[in-house]
Amino acid sequence: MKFISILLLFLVILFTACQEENINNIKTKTAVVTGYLFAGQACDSIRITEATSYSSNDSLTVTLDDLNVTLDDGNQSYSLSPIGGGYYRNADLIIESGKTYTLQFEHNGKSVSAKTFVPEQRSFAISDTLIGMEKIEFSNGPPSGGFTAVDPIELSWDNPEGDYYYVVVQNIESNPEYVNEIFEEQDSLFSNFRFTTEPQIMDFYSIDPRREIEQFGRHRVILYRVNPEYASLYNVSDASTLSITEPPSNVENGLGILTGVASDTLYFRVKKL
Amino acid sequence: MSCKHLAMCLGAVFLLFSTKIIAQDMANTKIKVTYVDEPLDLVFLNLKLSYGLNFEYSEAEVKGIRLSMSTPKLPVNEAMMMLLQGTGLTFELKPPKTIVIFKDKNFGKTDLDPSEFEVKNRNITVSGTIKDKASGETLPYASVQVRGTTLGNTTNGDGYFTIQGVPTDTAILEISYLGYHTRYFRLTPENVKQDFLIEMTVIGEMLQEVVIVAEKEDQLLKASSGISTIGITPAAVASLPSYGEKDIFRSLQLLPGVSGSNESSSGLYVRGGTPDQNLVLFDEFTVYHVDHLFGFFSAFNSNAIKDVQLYKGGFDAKYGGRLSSVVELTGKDGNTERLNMGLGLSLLSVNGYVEAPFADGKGSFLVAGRRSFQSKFYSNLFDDFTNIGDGPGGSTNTGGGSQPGPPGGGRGFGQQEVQPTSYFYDLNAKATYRPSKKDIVFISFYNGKDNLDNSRDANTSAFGNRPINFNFQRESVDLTNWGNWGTAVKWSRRWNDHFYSNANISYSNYFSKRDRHNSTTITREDSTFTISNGNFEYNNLKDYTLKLDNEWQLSHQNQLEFGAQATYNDIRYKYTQNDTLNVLNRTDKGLITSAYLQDRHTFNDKLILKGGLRMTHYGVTGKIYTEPRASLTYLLTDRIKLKAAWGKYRQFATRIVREDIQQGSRDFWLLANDENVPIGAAMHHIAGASYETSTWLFDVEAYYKNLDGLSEYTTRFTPSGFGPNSTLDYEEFFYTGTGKAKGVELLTQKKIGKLTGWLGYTLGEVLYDFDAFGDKPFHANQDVTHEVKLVGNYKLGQWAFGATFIYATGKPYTAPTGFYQVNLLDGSTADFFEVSGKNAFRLPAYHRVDISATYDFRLGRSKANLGLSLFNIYNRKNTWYKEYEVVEGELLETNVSLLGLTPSLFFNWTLR
Repeated sequence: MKFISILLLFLVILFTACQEENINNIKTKTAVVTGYLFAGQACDSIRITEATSYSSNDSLTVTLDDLNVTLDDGNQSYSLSPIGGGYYRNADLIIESGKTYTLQFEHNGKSVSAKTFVPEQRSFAISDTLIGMEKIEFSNGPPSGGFTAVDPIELSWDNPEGDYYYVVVQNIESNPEYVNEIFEEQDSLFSNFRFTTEPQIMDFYSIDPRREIEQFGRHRVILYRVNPEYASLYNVSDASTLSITEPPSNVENGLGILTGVASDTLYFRVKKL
Repeated sequence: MSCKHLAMCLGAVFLLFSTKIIAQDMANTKIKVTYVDEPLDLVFLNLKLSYGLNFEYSEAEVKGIRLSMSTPKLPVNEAMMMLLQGTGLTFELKPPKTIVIFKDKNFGKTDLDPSEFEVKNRNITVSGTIKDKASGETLPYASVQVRGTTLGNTTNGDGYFTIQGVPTDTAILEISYLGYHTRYFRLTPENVKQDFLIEMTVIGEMLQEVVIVAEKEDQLLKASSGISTIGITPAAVASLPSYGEKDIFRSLQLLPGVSGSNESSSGLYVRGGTPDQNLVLFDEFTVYHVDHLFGFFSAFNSNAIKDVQLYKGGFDAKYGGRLSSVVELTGKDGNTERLNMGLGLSLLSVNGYVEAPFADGKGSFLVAGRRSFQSKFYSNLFDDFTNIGDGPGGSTNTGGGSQPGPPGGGRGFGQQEVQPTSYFYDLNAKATYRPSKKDIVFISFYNGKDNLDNSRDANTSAFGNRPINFNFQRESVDLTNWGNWGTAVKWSRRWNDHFYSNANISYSNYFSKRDRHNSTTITREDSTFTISNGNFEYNNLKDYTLKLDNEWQLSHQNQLEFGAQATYNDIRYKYTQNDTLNVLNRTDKGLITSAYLQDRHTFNDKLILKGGLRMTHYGVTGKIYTEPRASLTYLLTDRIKLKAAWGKYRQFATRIVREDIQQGSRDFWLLANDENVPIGAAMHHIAGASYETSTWLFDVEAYYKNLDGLSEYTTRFTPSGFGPNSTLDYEEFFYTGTGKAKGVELLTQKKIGKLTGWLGYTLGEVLYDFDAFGDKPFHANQDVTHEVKLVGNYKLGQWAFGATFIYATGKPYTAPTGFYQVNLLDGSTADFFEVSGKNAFRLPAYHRVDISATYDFRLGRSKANLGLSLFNIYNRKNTWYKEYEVVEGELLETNVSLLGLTPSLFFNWTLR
């Protein structure tokens, strides 16, 4: 019995020591960079914000507008000016392909920096600039349209380097009409249809109009040539405590991304048959 | 419930438990008798008056028997044996105070012959085989003791034992085995001349057939046999609450030192180790994957298993290649007496077995199978895993909830419409043949598989008014399967009473395949165009092993074990994306050759010292690794045992787990190369003591393990290089580090009586130190500070009731401490999380109570039982993991719970 009493006492003492750590006490102040350097364009797409703490009650992103930000192209350092909303720019600085740029600033006593390379532009070809599609209708009698096969629109370009490409297709009509009537009823506020792929190593992309095109009219196709650091944003594990990992980032002492991008643009039109 | 309340409840339950200690401990009562020509019924009356013992007997059987005897003070069972010697009667103790007297059917035929009590030989060697009386199964690891001495041994894997230096040829052997009546066997000058065949009777069988029965060791586990060693009886597992299926590994999780709060893994976390650090041997072949249904059930059918031994640490030199523990499962040989069969049905699966002798009982076989079926119960468990993606954060590859991807593109197939086809099965077959009294040969076969098919097809031909030849075919394949094949051939030979050898050759294969892709084929008039995207993962492990184990009893104080093993591993792993991109493609091959030597020496029948050495040549590195091991047991008194162990352990094959909630965790094995994947090493230091009476066992053990060469694995798409030649590679990262695991385990077990069970407590800590995760050590994923388990079984007539309670400190986890958004090129945004230090937080405590009731009955001459089990009766929402998503600038946390209240029913029938 003595043994049991000691055991019980031992257990009770141990149980009273149960404690949990509290996530709400953690406040984060880490700088987040979202920076794109478009080849041939002025440097105007760099935004610096702060990560929001788990425990924060603010639903708005905290922007950092009073930093001394510089961008170095290896030969010269350019100062970027804040223009509000966390954005920084230097309209005189035109981003050049083939160059390496380094972004740098101080935040919370830490030197935050990020480096990227700007790829060369690559033009692409499109198989067809005009296609015809039937409107799919339900309101006037039996369903009609949409039964005829439509040839795909094929985009092709050279990619001997095995780089990452990313296609964005966007309707640019001011008042676009839906191919399928059903969407018109659901969507009272017309918006321009947009379709994007994920960055992949590819030299060809086939747009299947019946599956991937939703509206008639003019469409813009942008082919982005992106760096691996951008592609890595699309390969993140799920957000559960079983598998959570550090987010992809090329920013030292901070989070987010600074990446060089080159793009080419073409157009096609979808005609109503 | 707060921690304090839990402790109070626990204390109250425990006190109730412990007040019965005195009343039930009849076996510890000592009596002294002196009778001269006294009628037996008067002797019983006298004992009732003097010691409060009650006797149940038939007057007709007792009539005319008179005793003349004088004994010193003896325990009740020994005194009864002496009293009834030569009377043709035998007895059974029925706690608390009743002794049942009945006729010994075998009197005069077998063990007891009153004319043979005269000592003719001293210092003799006895040997024999212990078997189950009904089925003829040999009983491995049964304890054989010479009464009144500390001399004894356990049977080997074939149920065979030898004891040297037995003082006289009239000594009494006490044979005990889990779930069987302890049996006393008297040596005589005649019967010691040959090997014994001692038959044991399962508790619950007709008692009249037992020669001498003294104690009922009606327990589920036996923890007193060695250092950190626990045996469990698969037959008794049925009396424990379960969910859906009785499960041996789940029962092991109720032991102190083995984590019990891993509902989603049937693997064992032993003393801070991980499941891949356990060596799981089934009939001598290594099993690499022990899970069914994503880990809810273990891959072993308890109908096919007769014995389970768990070595929690400090294990012998005979075992190698793992850091943490050894689970040795011995398959049933099959009935050597007569045909038997059984069927079982639960809400999850149906199982059956057939066993029969052949070649006049020289051989026997057993075939057992189990298959799940689509039931509500199965679906509920299944959905717990597969519907997770429909919850918050349901997309596969974003930092947060909103996926930067095409609306309606990519995964636009409505897989929720698909009714998945999924099942698991396992099959065991074993044939054993005894060509002579000295040889046993068996072949054992195992196959188990899980299959999950979510595939679907869509086929469209062109229609409308354009007569073109156009065919559009879309196929969505989502196929997952995994499983094991294993087979072993073993030959055991007893060369003489002192030398025993086992040779075996085995093959084990673990395979796992995941094929998840969409392919679209467009056939036009003159061309076919196919687009395919998705991923394919394939792992195939083959293990070819040759093994030779020898036992040589040099003297009764000295036993030598030595042997050798060669294992050739061939492991392939391939991970392919979008048909062409081989993101990972590994082939690991290696030969591991080991030899070991161990000496067990007994000093003064009090101190048992074991020293061993295992040497391994590892083909991959070309180096030799030495693993010294030692252990000691000191019998301070008859009841108090002190024990200690120390040893070095290494691990060459490591299992890598890629946690993936959306698609189910994937795992594969690989061989360490001592470059990026280090060879695991552990030093075990164990000390403990036990106090054991015939009713109770109190056991305490403390352990400390130094771990080295730990690796944590992760894969990630990472940019490599810089500038125009940089690429995004799917890379493997092996973070390496060291660790420390320490803890104290307490076990209080009540072994006999109507109420049996145990209270186990573990205080533990596992700290890992990885440079990649910061300067400070962190608590490993499997770290649990306090763990309490209370297990009780109560027998009432044909009813058996079981209850278990588990309390465990929550496990550590890594969480987002913040979040941020990145605007993508197409104008959409993606959410990402800033992540805390490794395992900086801890989940809430885990606790639950399960109960069960089983009713045993007869159907004609056959036996059956029907049971109900309630899992998690107060529906505690134990947190499995947390999920996060960002919604309108707020970080939302979702707790994903483990199973709530789950009832299950089962029915079992056996021919005999």
